[in-house]
Amino acid sequence: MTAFLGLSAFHRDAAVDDERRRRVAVQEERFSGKPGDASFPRRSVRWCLDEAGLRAGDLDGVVVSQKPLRTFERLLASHLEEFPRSARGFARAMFLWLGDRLWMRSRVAQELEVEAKRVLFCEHARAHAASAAFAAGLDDAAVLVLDDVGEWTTTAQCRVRAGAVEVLAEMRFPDSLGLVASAITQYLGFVPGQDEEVLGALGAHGAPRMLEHLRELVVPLDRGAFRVDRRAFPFRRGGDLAYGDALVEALGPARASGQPLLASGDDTRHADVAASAHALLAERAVDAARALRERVADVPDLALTGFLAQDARIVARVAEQSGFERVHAAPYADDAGAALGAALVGAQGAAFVGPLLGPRAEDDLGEHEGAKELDGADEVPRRIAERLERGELVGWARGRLALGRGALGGRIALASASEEGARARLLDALQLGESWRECFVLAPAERADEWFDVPPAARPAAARGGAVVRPRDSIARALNAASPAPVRRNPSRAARHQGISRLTPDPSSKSYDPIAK
Amino acid sequence: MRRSFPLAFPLARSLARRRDRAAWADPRRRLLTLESFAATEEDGGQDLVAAARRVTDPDLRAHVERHAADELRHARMFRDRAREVAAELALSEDAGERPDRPYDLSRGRPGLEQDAHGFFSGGLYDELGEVEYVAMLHVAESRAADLFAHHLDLVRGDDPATAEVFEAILRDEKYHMAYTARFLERWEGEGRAGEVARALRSARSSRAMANWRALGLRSGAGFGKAMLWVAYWVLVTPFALVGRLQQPASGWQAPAERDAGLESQA
Repeated sequence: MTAFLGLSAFHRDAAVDDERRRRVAVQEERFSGKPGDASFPRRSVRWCLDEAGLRAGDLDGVVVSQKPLRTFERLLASHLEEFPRSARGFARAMFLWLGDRLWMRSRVAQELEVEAKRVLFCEHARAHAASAAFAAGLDDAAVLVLDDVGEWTTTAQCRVRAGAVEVLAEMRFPDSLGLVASAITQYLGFVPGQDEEVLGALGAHGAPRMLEHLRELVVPLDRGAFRVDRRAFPFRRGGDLAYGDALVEALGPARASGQPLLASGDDTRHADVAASAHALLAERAVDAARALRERVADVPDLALTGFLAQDARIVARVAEQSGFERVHAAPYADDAGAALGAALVGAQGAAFVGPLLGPRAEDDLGEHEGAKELDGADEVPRRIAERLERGELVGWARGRLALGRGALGGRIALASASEEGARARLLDALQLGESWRECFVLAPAERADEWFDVPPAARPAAARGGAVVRPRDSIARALNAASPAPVRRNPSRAARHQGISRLTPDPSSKSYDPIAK
Repeated sequence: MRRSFPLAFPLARSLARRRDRAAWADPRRRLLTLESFAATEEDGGQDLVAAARRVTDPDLRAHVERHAADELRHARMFRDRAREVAAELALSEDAGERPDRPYDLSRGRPGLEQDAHGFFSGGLYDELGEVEYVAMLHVAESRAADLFAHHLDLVRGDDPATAEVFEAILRDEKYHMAYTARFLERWEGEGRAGEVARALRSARSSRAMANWRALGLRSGAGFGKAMLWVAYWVLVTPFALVGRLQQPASGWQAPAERDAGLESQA
């Protein structure tokens, strides 16, 4: 029997793949409740092994989704190049690496009590590419990795064939769209590496007025490549700030955490910065995808993954403009997917891997007061529709927990979108105080016209997912926003929604409940 | 902000007071301190939420749930106060006044693997069991009450809004100490006195160990970073001058030709 455990670098998530195709994966934060928990994933490893019926000693290998010596080389080289401005970052990075990360093989071996020779290492981009292609069930596909940074690689054009990943070309640190996204997130007063979704969500409330300035700081090169301005984005220094003076000169003063967010009324500067940054990232992502299309002209499928592929609007732009026939976004495009990809690279397996790989809802049903198990295809939509019609908010847990930060399957919170301010109420209940955070409208595709303004030219793309549409008034009131939003198609979700919509009144009666998530 | 020394040591107490008074007097550090308290309470609340799911005794479970809600509310109170302080400061965009957010390009968040109350983290309820977990809570809450009273004393005169937050939280801490004490007494009365005594001893020594280790790590970290900083200027300089001549190329590159297989770390 062959069985591989994947770990995302550094110590965050775990996944198991074995020859019986028992694939399970979970993020450590699901157990600890701490977002982005970076401690050694003892609990996720324990759960994955239990679920797969394995002991650590049964594993053929534990594959870490990064080559640590290459990452260390990158850090050293970057600090040398930035001398003498990298003094502070050097001391901090070397302390962390010399004290811990450089000894990953022995740390993993010790924690899991496996032989050191069974601890293996896979390039970060390769792990991402494997998880993306296999998630889409593709045996032959182009894969574009739009990441922050792995070892050296920030962006990679890959081809996956018959279970093997070939990296065709790569862009290297510090030219990174993911790090640009992090830097502008930090410029806006949010936490880099955690709050990047702010760019898409907040940007929907603004206009890309600063796009020209940003284009000068992330300059396009030949064949869809780009160069990041080192003064605006001093990533190589490794200091506290990921943005530099040139960005402040171009966009104006940065927002400190806790200062008012300018996103409505007369002054929408912060929303405009987010919109501009988002437009720039989408532009460069489309350029890179088009270049990949030229390189592999005979391949109709593109799988997108990496840090930026978590952004549905960027995926939508790539789907519309890259020239590929079909574009697939990995449901676990973040580092959780890299853990799964590492296990798949170890097992050299090419088979469909869905996103629902975590603990089952029914396993912890008794742990939530008021939770009820519903049974039967009819009862579930009926009970949910009844509650929504009464104006209640509904939490719906179904099947296994999905892997990945942006994954929408398995656990959803629902509110009726016929109510004004439904989004605000839902976010309040979820203790997400930021009013700009996004909710998604679930609607059956064939009736999308009732709630959305879908331009005729965008209809084919809307039908398969990947168009951008504008909500009509009734939905806009519920969402408290009329900004265009991307369409993502999910047949299983649509089917569930249809199940609910059959039980609700006709939309013309104005009491029909489309569902906002 | 955790203290490294028990307050019983007069010198340590005096140094801690001086250090903490300086922190509250500096508006920027006050902001960071409030944010750090908010994060600590949030972590504690999350831990308790997870623990409450596993508690089997319905009476204890109700208390742990309320405790969890209290901790999360405390986090919100600290965060709200931090927002007010930030607004009062009207932080300028001068780089020197920006909040000092650590930014780690490798995405890791190095920590001490201690939980919110100064214990080693790692599924505490699962690992400790009911009695030891409640003993741990009792010891931790006693310490937290002591800590918040200390900070209340420091801010009472100069910062009444922050003092109000501490006062409200201290009232909750008293309840937390009382209910944990009640359960420990109940178990003692049920013939489990030895188990309770062992659990309290273990909680106190675990916290002492965690604090000792944190102190060691902090001191070691400070010394290690200082040495690395010196090394940067002494040893790195000649290589850096060469390194600066070699700017990395931009654009698409062929992948590295050195794939040595999965066994290699390079």
